[in-house]
Amino acid sequence: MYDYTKEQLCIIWLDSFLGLEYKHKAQILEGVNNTSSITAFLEQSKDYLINALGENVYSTLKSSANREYLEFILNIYKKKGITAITFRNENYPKTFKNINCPPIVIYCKGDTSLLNAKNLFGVVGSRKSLNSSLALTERYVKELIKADFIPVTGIAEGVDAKVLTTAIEEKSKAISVIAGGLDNLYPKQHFDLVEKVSEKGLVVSEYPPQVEPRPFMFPVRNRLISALSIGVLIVSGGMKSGTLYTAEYAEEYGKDLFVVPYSAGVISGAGCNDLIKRGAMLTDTPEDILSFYGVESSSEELNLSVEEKEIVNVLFSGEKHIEKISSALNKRVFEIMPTLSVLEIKKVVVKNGNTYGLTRNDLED
Amino acid sequence: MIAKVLTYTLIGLKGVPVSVEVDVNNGLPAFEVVGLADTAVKESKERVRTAIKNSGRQVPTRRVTINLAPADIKKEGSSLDLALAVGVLKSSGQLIADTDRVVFLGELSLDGSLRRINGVLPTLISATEEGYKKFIIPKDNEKEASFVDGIEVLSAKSLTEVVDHFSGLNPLTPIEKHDYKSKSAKNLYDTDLSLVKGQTVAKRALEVAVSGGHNLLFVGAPGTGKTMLAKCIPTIMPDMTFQEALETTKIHSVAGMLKDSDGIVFSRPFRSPHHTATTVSMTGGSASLRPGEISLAHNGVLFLDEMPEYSRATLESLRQPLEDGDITVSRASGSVDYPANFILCGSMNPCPCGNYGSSDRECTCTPAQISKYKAKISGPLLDRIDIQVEVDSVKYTELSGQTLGETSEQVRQRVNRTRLIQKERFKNDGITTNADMGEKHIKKYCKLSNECERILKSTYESLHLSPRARSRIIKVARTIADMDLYDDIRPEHILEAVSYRHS
Repeated sequence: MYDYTKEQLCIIWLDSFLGLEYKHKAQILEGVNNTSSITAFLEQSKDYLINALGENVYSTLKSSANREYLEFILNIYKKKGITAITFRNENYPKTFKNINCPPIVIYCKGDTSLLNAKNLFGVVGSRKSLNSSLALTERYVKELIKADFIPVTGIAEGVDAKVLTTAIEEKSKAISVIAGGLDNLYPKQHFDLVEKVSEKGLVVSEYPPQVEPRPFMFPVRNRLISALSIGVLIVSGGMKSGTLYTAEYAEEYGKDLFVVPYSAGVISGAGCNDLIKRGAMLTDTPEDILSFYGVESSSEELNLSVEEKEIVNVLFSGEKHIEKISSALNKRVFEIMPTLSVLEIKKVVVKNGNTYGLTRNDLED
Repeated sequence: MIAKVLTYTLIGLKGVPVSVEVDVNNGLPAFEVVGLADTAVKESKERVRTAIKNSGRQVPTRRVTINLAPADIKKEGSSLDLALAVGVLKSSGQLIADTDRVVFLGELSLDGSLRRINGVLPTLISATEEGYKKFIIPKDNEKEASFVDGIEVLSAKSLTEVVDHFSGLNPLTPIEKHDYKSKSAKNLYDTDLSLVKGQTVAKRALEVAVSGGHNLLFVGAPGTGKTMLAKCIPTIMPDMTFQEALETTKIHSVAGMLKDSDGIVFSRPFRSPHHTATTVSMTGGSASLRPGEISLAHNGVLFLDEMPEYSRATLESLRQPLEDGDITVSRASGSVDYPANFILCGSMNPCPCGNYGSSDRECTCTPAQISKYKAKISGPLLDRIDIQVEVDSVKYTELSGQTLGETSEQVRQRVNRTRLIQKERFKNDGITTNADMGEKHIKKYCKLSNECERILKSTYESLHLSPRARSRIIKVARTIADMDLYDDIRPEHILEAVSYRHS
């Protein structure tokens, strides 16, 4: 039935009780081996349950310890296309075994074989990022995908969503780890995005589908992103950004941490600079990451016209307002607007209001 | 004896002749007005009685019956007073004169003097079309009447003057006819484009918008001068033609907003209703079918500051007028067409707190708040706004504040030229500006070279534009090409048009 072993069914059954704390679930599972049925399983853990949680909890669990209840929840998972993978499954990610509080069951939608892939790479950033940070995200993700990495990220607006949309555009797989249950996305409007990701890639949660996301779950979720990936890129993040948790976990788990630097005073980059101060690897071009892993980067030749080159030269010293660019080139503003649009289409510059900045630093002759 | 006197009432902008029939008969003294009169007209019998008495004439102490024909049309306002009084005097034999084909307009004061009324210009125009040539109007209204051709208008200060004129005692001289000459814009507006420091991009966008009649949206943090820029739009719009001035004056006259000194609206209207405006105040309506803000902005600018703060219904009500250039206001009391051809200029912050996208100030809005704020302006409405431009925060303005830019006068001359090109192009299409183009016109007048098509295509892919943006970009590119005096749209025109969008 449902392709689960008896033991796995017991674990899934136990994990479905939202009222039971993680530590109790872990404790119960430690003392239990080779169960043949849920009733037997409950019997084995009876002593612990009554001692730690009281008679009431035990009798509540007992009343649900039947086939009907189990079939009910399994049916829900099946209908929604959710695969539950317990920590005793073969395909449970090996990288999760050594982290704090490894999830007892992970709920997946999509290609579960990705969980143990060796080429996962985390890309995260803050929800409110500058346009230039988003452009940078797109460029990094494209290069990483070209080099056969699979991006891992969350689901929030800003950088996370950019990672996923870029991966979809590039027809690549991607993994999105979400904070609540799979039925309770935050933000809700990314429903379609999640559906698209799960078509080729994978969406993962460590909670049963009906669990609503709560604030504490977001930093906790970040440990899974770091654990899955061989390295993590932090594109943007303020001093109090949740992104910094991902970085912390990455350090703790010994993953390679790459961080994009920002100039002083940029609020959405202050956290990044702080990470660099503490020893993270600075990166301002995808080649940094690729060469770290010994991958040849195959960047395309950019053909810039004379006018385009002129503007790029002006922007070498940092992002500039359109009026400054025009006065530097001694041209009228509307004369350089078409060229700026071309550069924007070529993704060489990014527009933020009327300020333009370069997205790459490899253009100098 | 029955006396008939002619006057006019207004339904919307259209004058309808009303024949005031007065009969003085034997019976108990009474003064009855019949014929679907509204409150202001019903009350006029008291004004008329007192005014006649205070002008040294007598109100007949007999049964006076007044009928306003045709009886099935609702008569409004106080402009019928004078006709009523003349009718009573004629009917009671106190005035013997031929008043056939003379239209009497005016409100009476208790002392017998004539007061200013609303809607004289549209009334005269309607009456002239129906062949009436002679009018008596209050002295205070003579300015606006002086712009109508081929009629004889006499203006009087009081009922006595009117009576004296017809009895031959003291004839009035017809008012002097004024020729319409557009006033120099310098004296019309209290702002000028040269006073706006910096904002080169926004100013250029402004010129493109006005040149092609495109609606536009300013996006920028609070206090960056969005309102100031918007106020400059009328100053660079083409000079009002007589026809345009007349149309606008008619609406303002009906709304009672005409200034005494001018008589006609010389300056393009700039209407900026507060965001608490109701839908009815915007579109026009209420029981008396008054024109709304969009009609008052006819031939001018409707500025909606903090656009997302307006109620959804109010904003959506703009869609049809933006499409058609007029609005049909329908209420239980009737249905009226008002013209509403205006440039819509909106302004909004990038997010509720205004700091989104800024690198040095933190935005305190949640993503949900931001998307809710942006979603207040619906897609179909945004489709009608061809140009979206970001307004710089003050620090850049300070940087480049040294150079004094072009004056509105200089820009307007270029706009006049660009508008002329469009008028010539569209002379057989029933439209006047590039912004009015439909798909059919775009196909006909905006042929794109392969190069341009290629650029448009790569723009979509690279900048993730919605398919709806396509015709917007092409229309704006057409205008920029016109400004550059090119027959064909060139790649740089498309590329500049591409940059007028809010990311």
